Amino acid sequence: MNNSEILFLYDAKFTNPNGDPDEENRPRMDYDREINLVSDLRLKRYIRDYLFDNGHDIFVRKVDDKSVTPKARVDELKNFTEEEIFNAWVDVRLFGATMPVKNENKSFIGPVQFNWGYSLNKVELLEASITSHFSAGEQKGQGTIGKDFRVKYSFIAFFGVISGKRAEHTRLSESDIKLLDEAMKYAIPLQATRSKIGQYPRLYMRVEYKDDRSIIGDFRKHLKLVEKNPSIRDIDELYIEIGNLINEFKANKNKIYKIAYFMDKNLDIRVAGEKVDICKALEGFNLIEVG
Amino acid sequence: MCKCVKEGEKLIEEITQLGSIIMDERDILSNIIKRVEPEKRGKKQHILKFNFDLSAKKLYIDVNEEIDSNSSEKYLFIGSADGPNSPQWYVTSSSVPYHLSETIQRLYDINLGDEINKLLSEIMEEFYVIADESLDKKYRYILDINKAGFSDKTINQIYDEIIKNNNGGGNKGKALLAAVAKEFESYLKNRYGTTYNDIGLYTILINNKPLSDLKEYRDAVILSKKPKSMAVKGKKGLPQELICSVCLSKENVSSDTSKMKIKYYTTNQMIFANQVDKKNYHKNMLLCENCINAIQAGENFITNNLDTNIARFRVYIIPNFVYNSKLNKDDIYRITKKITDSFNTVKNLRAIEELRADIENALFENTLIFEGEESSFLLNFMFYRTSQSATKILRLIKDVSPSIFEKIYNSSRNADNLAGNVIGESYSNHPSLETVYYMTPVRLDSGNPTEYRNVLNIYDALFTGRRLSKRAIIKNIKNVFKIIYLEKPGYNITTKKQNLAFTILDAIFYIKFLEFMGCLKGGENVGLESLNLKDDIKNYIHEMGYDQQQTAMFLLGYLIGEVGNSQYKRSADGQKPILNKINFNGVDKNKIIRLARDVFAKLKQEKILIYNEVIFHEFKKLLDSNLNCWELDKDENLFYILSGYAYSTTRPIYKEVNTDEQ
Repeated sequence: MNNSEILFLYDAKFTNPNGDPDEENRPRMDYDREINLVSDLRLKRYIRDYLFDNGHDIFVRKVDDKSVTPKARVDELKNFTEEEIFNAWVDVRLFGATMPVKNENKSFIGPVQFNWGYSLNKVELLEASITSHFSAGEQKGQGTIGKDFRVKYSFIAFFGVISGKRAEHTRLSESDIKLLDEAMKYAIPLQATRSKIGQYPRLYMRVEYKDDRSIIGDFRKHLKLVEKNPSIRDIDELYIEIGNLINEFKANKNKIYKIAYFMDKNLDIRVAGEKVDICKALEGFNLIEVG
Repeated sequence: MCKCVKEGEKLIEEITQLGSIIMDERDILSNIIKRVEPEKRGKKQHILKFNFDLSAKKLYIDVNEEIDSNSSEKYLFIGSADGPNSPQWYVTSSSVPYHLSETIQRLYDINLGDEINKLLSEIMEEFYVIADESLDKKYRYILDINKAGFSDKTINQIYDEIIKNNNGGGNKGKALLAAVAKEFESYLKNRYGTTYNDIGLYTILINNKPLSDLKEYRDAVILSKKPKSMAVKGKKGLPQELICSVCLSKENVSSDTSKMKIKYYTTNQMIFANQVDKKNYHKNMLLCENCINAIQAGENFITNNLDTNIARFRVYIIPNFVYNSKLNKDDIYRITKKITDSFNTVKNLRAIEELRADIENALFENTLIFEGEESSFLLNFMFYRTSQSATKILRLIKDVSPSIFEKIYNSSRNADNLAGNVIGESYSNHPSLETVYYMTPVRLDSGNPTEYRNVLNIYDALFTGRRLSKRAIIKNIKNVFKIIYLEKPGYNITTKKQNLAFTILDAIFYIKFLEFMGCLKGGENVGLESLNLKDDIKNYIHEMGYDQQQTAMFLLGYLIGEVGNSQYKRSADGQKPILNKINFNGVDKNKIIRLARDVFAKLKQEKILIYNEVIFHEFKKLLDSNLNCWELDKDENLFYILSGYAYSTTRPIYKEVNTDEQ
């Protein structure tokens, strides 16, 4: 299995990409820089849910809508062996797992790891009061007032890796990686909850190398988000300058085996300020569009 | 020589000293008799006698005799044989399995003379069976409970079941013995209505005579308590002269420390031995027979008289006499009683306070006052844990003056008086040694503390008057609040959310207690004279010695408490959603600003701004003037916010009680 590095961009409009339970479920923020944050666990959850909804069993999940102990999940297996674990659950093959089972702890580091995602733009929060028709008690005449926290617009970038070496250990297969590509494209739009609707994947690139030793490093530092007008609220109001990233790819061309990608047609990407088509920009590389 | 050995040596010296004073010259055995409590959990304890009647070829069980203060001596109870996995042959034991398996055959191996061995071999022949020749000697002979009429199952049936179900994994013998012990207990239950919980001692009789009465047996016990003598060859192959590390004697010197109950230093790892060679342990420590006897007597005295606990920690308090020439046994017993009484008084002052009369007595019958004896002895606190019959030292706090008890008592009383003044006379909390444990989160593993270092550090500082870091203490306290608020299981803290405000109060005065003990630096009021606040709040801030930033956080917390009170009155199930706005991981500067805005909005929403506008104004003034040079960290911010919250939540309760009383 070869190494891969992943860039994933999506945006969130009037939604809460990832609530912070310590902060009344406000969107996670780095307030010093006004940057919106999304944990890697949130992204993995999208992927897990998508895989589960498509008939693949996963380890980290509720059973009949109830949270269960890891032991209860493990008890479904005939034998608690590595082989059975990897065969049973695709999410363990992808992300690894810690299985705290008394006297038999098992822990696997997954080959697929993401960093925390952050917004490429400065993000404003919308804090609104919402009223409910339900009252707090039987004697009360009025409904209650709740709080609703959202980001006005956040353009979020994730970076991840697939380690070829660790993939062998958790028996990750090429078809699992295909599933992952697919999940990245479809998982988020399918999450139609009140706080998540209004998020769209905009760009995905999985750069696969020719071996299990090569890496380039975080792609996000080679990207620049340019606002077409101040305080953006929509995908039309920005473009992403990818010139430096393309140069980085070209400099490492001999290491790159292929690039799996998809791009949303509404995203405006440019090289040196000139609007380009993604296939054109990546000419000369072995491109595979995720279906 | 490394520090551990040095500490261990010092302790050995002190225990030897104690032992030599109380040692009974006439009778070595009485120095090693272990006491057994006549009652356990409110139940009278009994002695179970296995009486082998060889003429009738019957085994009689007798559980009638109750344990009293003489029982240990009468049946010569000295605990179990030293060291893990040693052969167990003492005929009086506090647990049953040895007698169901190895005791008789081990006695036979000891060889107490032909006459006794003849009886023992008869008993083995008649009453014991071998389930499996390949089993370890510990489990080879098992009491035939079927033949004795205690069970319908034969030993072979029980053993086959174990083999079939693969119980015990690698240790079938152990599993067999456990199963037999279980069968025997159900027989006791059906026949006599007792369980092992009612039995304190098990002893063996042959033809109605206790084996423990036999002179041959007593001599063997004395011999077993003596260290193995040794000869060490010197450089030229000549016998080397050995010198006792404690008293410099050259008589019967040995490095055999296996007879000691307490593990003073490592004796089984190569890295600790001289020249990294296990054979060289004698170069670390040598003891003569007299000193070993004294140590055994001293250890025994400590376990019988000076064994106590703080919260979940076991502690030995070991006195070290500076001028011991004049002391006799009676002095030691008198001082010991004073030490334990004083210690128990300050260990948990809350419990003592409930028995107000007792404390008056404790104080005035000079338990806390060691008239003139101050200078003559110091105390060592040894926190320990037992594992497999060895006593491991967790921490040794050395050379503490006995006046510490008075200091703890006074500091606690001062903290309590302060609490009465600023919260209300009816509130009392008596911070004490136990409080430290409940204000320092410790993960528990099956009820026992696991990360004890942090707590023991604080005890160390309390006993020795060392300074502690206020930030570290507040961080511990913050974690306590977090555990309560998020209801995290697995800690030494009860997670009842409704108790949060009271726990915060306790924490405030625990910090004051540490200040009075001299372990934390107190604060000073600076630039708070012009505050426009109600008298009781002003009084609190003044008495607590808060500075401007602490005051600002306290006021913000006070306002949160006011919003909470209003929400509590309105909601059906007593919820306070405002608390969700506080981040229990800590509140940094940005979060303070956001929180201030939220609190203001909530005061308006709850329609109580009109009563609190002045307080909010004072808070904002303090916040704005300090914001650019904010010194408190996120945990301290949280702590002072919650202090204010607890104050405004609990103050009305204690105030009301007060007016009622008037």
